[in-house]
Amino acid sequence: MSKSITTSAHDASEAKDVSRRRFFKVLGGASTVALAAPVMSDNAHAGESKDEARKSRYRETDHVKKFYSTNRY
Amino acid sequence: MARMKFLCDADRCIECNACVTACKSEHDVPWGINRRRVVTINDGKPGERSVSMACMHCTDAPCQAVCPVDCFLTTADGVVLHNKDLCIGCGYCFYACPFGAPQYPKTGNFGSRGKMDKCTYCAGGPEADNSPEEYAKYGANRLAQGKLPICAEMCSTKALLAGDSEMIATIYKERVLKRGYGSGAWGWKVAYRETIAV
Amino acid sequence: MIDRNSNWRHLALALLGLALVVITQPTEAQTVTPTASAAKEEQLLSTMKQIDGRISIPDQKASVLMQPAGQEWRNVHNTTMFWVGTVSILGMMLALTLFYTIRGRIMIDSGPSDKTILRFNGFERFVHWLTASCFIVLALSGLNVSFGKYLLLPVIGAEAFSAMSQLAKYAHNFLAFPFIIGLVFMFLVWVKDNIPNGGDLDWLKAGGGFLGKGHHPPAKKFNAGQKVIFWVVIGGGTVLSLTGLMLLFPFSGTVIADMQLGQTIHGILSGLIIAIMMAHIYIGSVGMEGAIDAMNTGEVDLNWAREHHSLWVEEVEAQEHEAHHKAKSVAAE
Repeated sequence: MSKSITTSAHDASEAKDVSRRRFFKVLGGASTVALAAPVMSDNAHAGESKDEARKSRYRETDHVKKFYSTNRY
Repeated sequence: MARMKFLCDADRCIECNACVTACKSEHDVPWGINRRRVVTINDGKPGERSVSMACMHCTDAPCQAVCPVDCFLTTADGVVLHNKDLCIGCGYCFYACPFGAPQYPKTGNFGSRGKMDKCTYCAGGPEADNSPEEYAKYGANRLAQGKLPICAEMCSTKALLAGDSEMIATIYKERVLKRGYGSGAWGWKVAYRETIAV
Repeated sequence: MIDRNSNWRHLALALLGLALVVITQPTEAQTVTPTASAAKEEQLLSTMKQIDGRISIPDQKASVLMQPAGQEWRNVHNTTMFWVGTVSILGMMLALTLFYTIRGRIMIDSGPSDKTILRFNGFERFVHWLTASCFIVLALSGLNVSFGKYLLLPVIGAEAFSAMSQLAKYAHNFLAFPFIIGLVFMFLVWVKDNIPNGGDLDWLKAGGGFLGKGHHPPAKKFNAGQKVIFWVVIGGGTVLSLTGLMLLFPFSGTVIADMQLGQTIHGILSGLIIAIMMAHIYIGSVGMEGAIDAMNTGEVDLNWAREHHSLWVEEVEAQEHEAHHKAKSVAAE
């Protein structure tokens, strides 16, 4: 990180570059974790029973409410 | 209980195909399969309209009625799902579907189609919710995550509505009244035997 | 000067255009809504059976936006086809059971003789059994598609039923080809003996000798009943083969309406043919003494042949006599 303390314009742009790469690195890492998470958390896999598969999944969450409200414009 | 439906406001659809792309991306849909598509009617003529179409999750679904191995199930939300472990790829659901929703991964010899694939209303299938098995076979289960289908959620012109049928019908009615016109809820009569009266 | 002239002309045109806009604008605003000419679902469906459009994906059959005809196909498949199949097959079972209880097994009236006569040679029998064995598998796997979910699925469970149906589908798809080959050979081998003629009417008038004992109308190699079976197999088999090939290569030069029609014909016709074949299987096995030998060893009992195919026996004997006579005269020279 010491490199980011800049003294010249050239250095500044380099630092910017580095930080952008870091951004993608973090993003990449996060997505890997996100992909791996369900794999690890759901070891006990079993197909759902017919009743289970038919159960309701819809919930009027804030996310869904926001969708409805934006569609009213 | 809330009944899930799709409604494409054809007067707003600009045929950007983002719903198609978003669907493919969200569920890792293989090449050659389109769970959603945009059809343009009267292309290039006055009155041209584009409609984004996928499985309409019909009431008393024809696919379910004709399936020889009974692999379909309708959830309490009115979402029509199917079990790929049971599907034998006979193609009957495609003949019966008024909307051309069922898709098959293979166009190989002697009509060996492979396991049918279709829109799940972003509600996965008969595997544990949001499990990797479910994702591999059916794609994401956004409904179980408290979200709505990705195609509707990211629609840039808000043409494609998804969610509780009463809510989306109300939203559509409001729009029609406000702007003074509306070409109707495409497919609703065939899929749900009802239309939206404005 | 020329420039100025053209400028004036432009100005005049522009004014004219403006005037037109001014004149048309108010009326447009009053009468034209943006959807006046818009594509409307109901209007499109009332003029055409389906709504077609343009798509930007390679799958051209996806350009059909809606085809409510799918609902009609579903009704035909689940109602008409279901009942035609059920009634014809159960009806035939009932009819054959009744026939067996009333008439019993049709025996050789004069009892079996110690002599036999060659009715079908090895190739004829091969062709028969090639077609017949394919037909049985095709019929059972086809019936499974239509009736399996009501009869078998509740018994053996979804997973086992699905696995079995998958195998049945492959069998149905691949055995179609030897079946078609069998049909072609069958036609070539037997068509000359199956041309209808006047004798067939007499045979039919006499009820084929099925109803009363001891009376057998004369017949050549094939009687009218067998000719009906032959033409049902050839005609029906051809239609089943053509519609079947269409289903095997879906959307190859066909559209959804063709596929639906093809499937409907294939399903309804096969229900009827299966019922007719059940009668054929009955009379060729338990229904008639001595009949199975024709397709087993090919050698039938002479008394059986005299009773059921009197004219054919005469023909064969005349031929043999002639051949014998020729051989004798050749030897005498």
